Amino acid sequence: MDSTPAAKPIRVFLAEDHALVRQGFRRMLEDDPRLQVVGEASTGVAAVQQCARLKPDVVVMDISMPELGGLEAAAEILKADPDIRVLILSMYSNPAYVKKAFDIGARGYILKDALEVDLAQAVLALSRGEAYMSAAISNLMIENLKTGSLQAGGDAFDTLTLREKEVLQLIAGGKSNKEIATLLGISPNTVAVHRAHVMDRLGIHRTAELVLYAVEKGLVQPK
Amino acid sequence: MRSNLENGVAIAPADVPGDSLRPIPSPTFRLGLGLGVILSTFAIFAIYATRQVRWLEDFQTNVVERNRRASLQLLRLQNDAYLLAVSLHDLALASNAYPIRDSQPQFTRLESDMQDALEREGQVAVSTPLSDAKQARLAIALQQFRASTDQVFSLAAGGDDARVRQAARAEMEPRRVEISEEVSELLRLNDQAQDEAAQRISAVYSGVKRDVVLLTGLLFLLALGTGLYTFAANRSTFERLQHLTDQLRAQSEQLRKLSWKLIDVQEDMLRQVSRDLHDEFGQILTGIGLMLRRAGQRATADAALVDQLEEVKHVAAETLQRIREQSQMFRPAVLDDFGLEQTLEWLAGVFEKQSGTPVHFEWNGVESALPAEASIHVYRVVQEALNNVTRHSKATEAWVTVERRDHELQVEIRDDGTGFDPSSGSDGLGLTGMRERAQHLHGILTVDSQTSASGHGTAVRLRVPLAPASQAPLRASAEKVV
Repeated sequence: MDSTPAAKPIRVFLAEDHALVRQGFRRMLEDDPRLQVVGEASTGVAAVQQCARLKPDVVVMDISMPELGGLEAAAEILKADPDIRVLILSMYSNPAYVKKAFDIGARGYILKDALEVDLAQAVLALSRGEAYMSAAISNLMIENLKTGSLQAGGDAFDTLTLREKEVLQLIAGGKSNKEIATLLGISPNTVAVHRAHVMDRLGIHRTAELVLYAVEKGLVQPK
Repeated sequence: MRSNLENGVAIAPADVPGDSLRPIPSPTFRLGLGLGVILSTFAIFAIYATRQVRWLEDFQTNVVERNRRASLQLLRLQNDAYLLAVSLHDLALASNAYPIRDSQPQFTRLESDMQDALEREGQVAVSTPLSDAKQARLAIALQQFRASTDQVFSLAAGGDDARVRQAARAEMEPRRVEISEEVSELLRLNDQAQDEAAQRISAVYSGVKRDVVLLTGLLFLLALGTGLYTFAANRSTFERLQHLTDQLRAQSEQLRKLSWKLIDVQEDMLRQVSRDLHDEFGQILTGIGLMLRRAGQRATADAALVDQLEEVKHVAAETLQRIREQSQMFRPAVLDDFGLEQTLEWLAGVFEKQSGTPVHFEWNGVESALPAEASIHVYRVVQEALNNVTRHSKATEAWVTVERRDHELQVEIRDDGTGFDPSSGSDGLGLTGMRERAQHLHGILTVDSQTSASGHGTAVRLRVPLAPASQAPLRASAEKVV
């Protein structure tokens, strides 16, 4: 361990609306001598007010809080003091939530999964300036990166077959499924399948984004 | 109270269904009766008129014609009587140069002609006591005249012309006058009979005329009555039908409202249950998990205890996982937090993972702009359609495609499975519920499918109008169940 017991403990603020869970997390944090729980709140509004006063190092924020939602409260706290590290506790593994959490400036996202939670590790990681995600979340995000449009380079594009690239180019050129079918001499259903595969591979589900992607790839010239 | 509404013309309040459900009286019997009366009146009048006409015909041939013929004979008699008078005048004149004897055939001829005419008149004339008596007296007068003629001409044979002339004046002249008078009398009687016949005919005509007027009036009244009754019956029947239609409409509207309310109640309950499951039981299980974890960390000395704690923790975690999944199916939080697009994308992913059937999701256009209260219905339709895909269709792929237009949201759930016959009445596929939700959103749900092994598949299409921002797209959201 890189820190000595004599070092100044990391000041943690815990915001969680459910008393039982709050107590559980508090004990878990207190079990680690490097951490000190300086305060707790059961509503988003109370969390914002107390954090402004207590200036903790790390805020552990539940995503669903009454009065002011967890993400909104976290955003308020970060607006007041961008140096505070925010760790989001959530029961949602949906990437939309994860993305929004990181968008507002949170540095960690932990699923409130009884088996996996290692809250103290997460808080320590954040205090060192690192980001932290639950294993399930990071797997999901990797999956998302692998097939999604967020990936760097042209990996996903290279996985497309020649026919799929053709279809992509024609879609981007503004052709309908029927027109593409006529042009390529295949059935419209087959075109629909190709189109769906392209979208799946690239992690895009909007035609507009597909067109944008094709333009970025240089498949078509923007008009 | 009810009796005020007995006529059915008054609009009964909608909450008294019994009143309007009385059987509608059929006007057929009364209409038939009216028609029967009219027709039989016609028939009776036709018979009556025919008989009157036939009687007139008979009367004319029997009475008028006989009178006419009798009057001809009477005129013949009158003529003869006149000639007789002339002949007798010649006979009685002293200046007459012809021998008296020569005029006898003239008298004989006139006498027999009169006799003949009288007989004929007696045959054709209508017999009345008065005319019979006159005829009898004429016959006697003729007879006497003939007797006196014979007497006079037998004197003439003796050559005594002066006595003959005197006898002719004394014997024959009075008889002749009597004959003339009787003939005149008979002619007068004949004229009288003619007049009477004319009067009777005229009376019959005016009687028939009066009857025609009466009957026309009667028929008019009958027709008017029947017509008015038909009109009234028609009107009351139609009013009743209209009333029933109105009530049916009101009731089906009520039913629809009720069914919407049920859906809303169901959604509210699901949302509540979902929240309870997630926030309450989920949190408690999380808390238990945390405690177990802590207990496990502390009991490091006892390996068996650690194992047992680990096991319990595992059960708690699995239960928590299930609760989360279930509560998300009941009411996905992402719908309230991020909207329809993210929710449908997530749903497609969940179905793909659960069923192993690739579900391709495509959204075209900007975000839906539907409030969560409306979006939940779109979500349910897609959920149900995807359920059908995985349960029934044997599809190898499925597509969820959303087109967001300016004023409309088009959602299509398509598969390449075996399809089904949408016209078959049975609804094991939840189509009714899907349609109700579509209607609730003022939208349209269409199902395109046919049974075939060739993978034509099924396409469920939902079109939802997007109201202008100022207008609430969902009526029921205003009357939410508390």
